[in-house]
Amino acid sequence: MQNTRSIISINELEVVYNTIYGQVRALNRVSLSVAQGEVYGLVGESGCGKSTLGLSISSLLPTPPARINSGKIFFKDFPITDLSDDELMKIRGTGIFMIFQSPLNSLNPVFRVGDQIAEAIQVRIQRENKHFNLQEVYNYGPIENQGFKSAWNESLKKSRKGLRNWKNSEVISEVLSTLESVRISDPERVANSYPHELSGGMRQRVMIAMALSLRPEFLIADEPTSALDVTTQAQILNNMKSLVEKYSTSILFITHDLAVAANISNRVGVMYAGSIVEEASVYNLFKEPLHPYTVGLLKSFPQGNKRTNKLFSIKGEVPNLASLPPGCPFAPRCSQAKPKCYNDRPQLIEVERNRKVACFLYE
Amino acid sequence: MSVTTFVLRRLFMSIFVLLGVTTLTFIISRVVVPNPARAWIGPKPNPDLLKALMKKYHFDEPLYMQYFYYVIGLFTGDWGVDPYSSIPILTEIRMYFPVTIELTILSSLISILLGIPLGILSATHRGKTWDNAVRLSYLISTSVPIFIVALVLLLLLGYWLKIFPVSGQLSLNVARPPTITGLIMVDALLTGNLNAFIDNLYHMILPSFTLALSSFGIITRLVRSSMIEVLEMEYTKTAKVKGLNKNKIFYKHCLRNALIPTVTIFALLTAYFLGGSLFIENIFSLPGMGRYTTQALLMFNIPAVMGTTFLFALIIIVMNFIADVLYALLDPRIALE
Repeated sequence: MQNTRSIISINELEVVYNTIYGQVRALNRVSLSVAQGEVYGLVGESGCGKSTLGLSISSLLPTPPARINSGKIFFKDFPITDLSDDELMKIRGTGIFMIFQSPLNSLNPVFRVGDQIAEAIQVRIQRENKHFNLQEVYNYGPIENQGFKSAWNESLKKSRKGLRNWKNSEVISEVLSTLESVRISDPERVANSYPHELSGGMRQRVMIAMALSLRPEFLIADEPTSALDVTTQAQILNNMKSLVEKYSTSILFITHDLAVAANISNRVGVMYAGSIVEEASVYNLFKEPLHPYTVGLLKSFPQGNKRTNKLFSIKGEVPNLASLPPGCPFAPRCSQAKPKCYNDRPQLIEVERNRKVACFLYE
Repeated sequence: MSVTTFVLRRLFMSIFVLLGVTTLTFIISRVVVPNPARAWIGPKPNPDLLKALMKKYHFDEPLYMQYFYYVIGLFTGDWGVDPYSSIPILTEIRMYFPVTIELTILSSLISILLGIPLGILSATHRGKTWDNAVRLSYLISTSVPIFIVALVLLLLLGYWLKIFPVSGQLSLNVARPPTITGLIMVDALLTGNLNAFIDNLYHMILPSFTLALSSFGIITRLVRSSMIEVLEMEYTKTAKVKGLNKNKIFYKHCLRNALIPTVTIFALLTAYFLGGSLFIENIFSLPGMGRYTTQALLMFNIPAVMGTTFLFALIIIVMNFIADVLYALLDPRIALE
């Protein structure tokens, strides 16, 4: 994936939450980049900062209490960290879209499912319209607010004219065909249902259908299958793969399930206590994990072919993010920890081609 | 279950509530004044006259027979006769009720127009100056008793500043429009008498505003808290990340969800307004149900008290019913349960 253009690149992002217990550092100088058409799997335990990363990219962090301390996020080389809501609006949807963990709450309970998808289709049509040129607006960056805004308004005005020619029946038929493409057998019924009338898996499929109708360049999927059973999970993953195949969408797939990450991703990043500790292609990571945490994580995965009485678990506990030790955050739980590990923080360095690890064992 | 079945079922349940209300009204009135005829006839009564009066109002019969006559009367349109004026209670209510309707409608309008925008403002500026100002204002206005608010406003705006008239429905030089519905404003409009309409509205503003002032806080508080809740919901995030514009996110996706719980408190507010009319109508000398009820209470006019209590209960039941149906229409999740 070397020479392809990156859709999202994150540079030394640091996010803190101000809580009554003090400042919690949820993300500690995280850097990563996702190329076009790539699926980046982000794995890690609960509370390691995976969701915070996803919310920061879509600029949905609850501020306050959260705050981006330092670092920048680039969407197609365009910095998006300092944009206002009005400016973000045009990047969201067709640029960046997000699917949340709980399919129960991510659809508006008072509108029919079909209307909510139609809304997404209309957003896309409005932007796809030949008058609406996203690039034209980007060219004003890096953020000269006035020029940016007027370009945005100008292209929006033009595209509204285009939208009037769009027939409602075409939107409806697209809603139905999108629902069909996520393997919903009776799209008419589903489109006319309210979210509460559908099962969890069905609702998550509707969210994927929404993503399909937006055709975003970058999709953040925050544990989209965690609340679902295994068969539904497999179908949802297939639906997401078709999004990559059809529209070469890049996906940041956040999950705690290693099997799911292995199934869908091209590249996997392992997160621990707010930092990425290892990054490698799926094959390499599962074949030969480098970081002691990754090794432990893979070992804790139950093996079907082995008869063991007890599941392996990494000893010790996840450190408190409000008071991280100065050294490697994993050092207190690491069996190979050296004195140096407690004092200095290892950097994420490239040890092989396309393979990064943050550990002093590989320096 | 469809909305129609839901409505029918809710209607059926209301009948039982109504029967419960008749029982309660009857028991309370009989406990307070076991034999009202004695109070009406004055000291040292003529025994024959007392006997005749008791017979007329069925006070000489056992309680269950009295209750039977009362319920039958309620549903056949015979709500009893005012023992002082000898006018049927229903006729009297028909005279007094329009003023209260005007007062209640105007107060609801003012408190909605005041309460909902303030609640939204407060929620979107959470923790900032606007929010604190709004919260302080509704805290003060709901915690000060309504008769104090009424007297202060009357003194300030009516007596000292002379912006609003202090009492009555119409100025002395304005003729009352012919009675069609009983509501002066509606009658004035029907007869094309714009002058009387404006004059009546002008007289009603201060009492309605007073009533609204002490109740808008209920709406503001509810709108504020449900709006804050909705703004943090995941579907709001979905709407945002879909690339919708601010107005669509706010007015289409958030407001509708946030206003659903607000609908239910209109029933509550009606009860509040009817209770408040007891003070407001006496302070502003308006010939409405509140004033009629207080006077009936002071004179042991039991048939009138029973009539107004039943009417108030009926209104509150109807408002509750409307709120439930509206709730079901607004929130698709309700009707199915």
